[in-house]
Amino acid sequence: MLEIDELAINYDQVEAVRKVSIAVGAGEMVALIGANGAGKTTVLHSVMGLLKPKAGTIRLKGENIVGAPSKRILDLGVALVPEGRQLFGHLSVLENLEVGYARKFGIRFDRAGFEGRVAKIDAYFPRIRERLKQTSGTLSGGEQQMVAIARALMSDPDILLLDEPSLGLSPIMMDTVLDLLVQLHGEGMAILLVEQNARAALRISERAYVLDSGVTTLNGRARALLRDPRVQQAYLGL
Amino acid sequence: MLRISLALAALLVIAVAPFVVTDPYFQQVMVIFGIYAIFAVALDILFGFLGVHSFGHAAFFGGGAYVCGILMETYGVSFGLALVAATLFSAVLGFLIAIPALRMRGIYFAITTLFCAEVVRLVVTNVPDVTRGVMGLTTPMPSFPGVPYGYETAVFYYITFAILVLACLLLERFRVSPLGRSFIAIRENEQLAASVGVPVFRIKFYAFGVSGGLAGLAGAIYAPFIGIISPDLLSPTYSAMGMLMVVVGGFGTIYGAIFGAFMFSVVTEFFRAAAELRMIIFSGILIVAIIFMPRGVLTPLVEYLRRPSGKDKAGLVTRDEAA
Repeated sequence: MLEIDELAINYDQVEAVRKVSIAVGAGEMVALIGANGAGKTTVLHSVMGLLKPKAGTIRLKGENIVGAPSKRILDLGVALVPEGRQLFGHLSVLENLEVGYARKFGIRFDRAGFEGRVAKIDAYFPRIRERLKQTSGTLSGGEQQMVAIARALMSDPDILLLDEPSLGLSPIMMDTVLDLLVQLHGEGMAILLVEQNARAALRISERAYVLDSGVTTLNGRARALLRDPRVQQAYLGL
Repeated sequence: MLRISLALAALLVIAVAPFVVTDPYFQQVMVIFGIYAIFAVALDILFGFLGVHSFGHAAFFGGGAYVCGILMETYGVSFGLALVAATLFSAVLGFLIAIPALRMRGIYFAITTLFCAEVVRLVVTNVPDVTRGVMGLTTPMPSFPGVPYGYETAVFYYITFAILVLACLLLERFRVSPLGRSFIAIRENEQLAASVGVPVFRIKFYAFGVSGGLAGLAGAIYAPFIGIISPDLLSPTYSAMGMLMVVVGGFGTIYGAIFGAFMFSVVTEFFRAAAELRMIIFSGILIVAIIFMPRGVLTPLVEYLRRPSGKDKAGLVTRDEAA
């Protein structure tokens, strides 16, 4: 479904990503782990069309999406949950979801379609159901993460890109978020999960890649990587 | 309910003001207030709703004024048609300036809008056969059928405020629409908005056209009302004035832009007795307002009025309460 091949991305003269190759199959959950500054977020942003790579290809359902606008990438079924639960803080939860439905709008907003989509994803997010009219900036961290995921799901994606979804969450809230990802994956959604919490990511993923200084250095079955001494030493503190 | 009451009160004040304020000079001040308010509201579409800081809006205001003035003075076109033509001209100018400007970021964007406005000012200055250059272009007072001599100011007043009220109603409706929320999403975080599929460039492009057109409409009323226009109307001073009106009142709120226009047109009149010191005193007030009320003079008051009542709050749980 998503194939990233020999990707290289520069920020001006700085090489943020040098050689990254990742593949995510349909309905597969894949983790991308690595230290701070390894280039994980940069990879996700380039998939989303927010950064233009210097070299390499990104193929989505067979189509090379390098240089494509974000809207086209969303149309192909990709959605991003950004790092830091970035919400439009002055808008309510419901209004954030409306913006998440944005690619569907023309001059007339498809209100029936929007409400149908909200009803469809409602079951995943019991905690935010009663907070729909609340200003999103006043929600707790965990609730904001839920809204960020809900907003991404509004575009009905086939593959979800998540950037550090557990960052800054309490252990209970982190488990809730990870359980939600397992549930979404169980229902057939492909997930590319970027995480610093390598142990949690490797536990719930099928396959994983290790990103070190802009290069994918290791990849394989997630459970095998959990036992790999190099991963254990570098990312699991063992 | 409070909002509706305030809106109806404002409409009532607008309707009766010319009957209460009968002094011709102060009636003219009210028309200028209305024109500045339309200009400020136009700028608020970009500045307040989208977070796009255009430093060249005088190009649209002055451009509209010149198109209206030239059409009426040189070609004898009616005031109504000249208004439409000036609005369309400034809208197209907005689209044209948006094409290079929106490809820039930060300070380069600001410089591009400023530069484009300067180009328009230089063109107007250097084609005296059409614009009369620095001599200034006289614009005839339009004839309003059935209106007795001496009542033209009142007609201008009602035309101006009808356009202002209509623009505000449309913008308020737009502000709470899903498309309007996409504007706010762009203002809050452009990259995030793009990542969820908001067509950032397209929205900014159209907003430039709409904002430019509305500013041009304000200029088109200004030209025949004042009677003479010069290239100064296209100078950075007018662009800065528009931005100050929006900032002082409270950007992104519509009412803030109108209040800012009130400050610049009506409040300055209170200091007329201070002669040369007038603008120094007014500048001091602006500086104090911006330092102590950076989100606009009216914003804290409006937020206080809009605070949730006990009944509204019952269904919501704030973060503090949840913790």
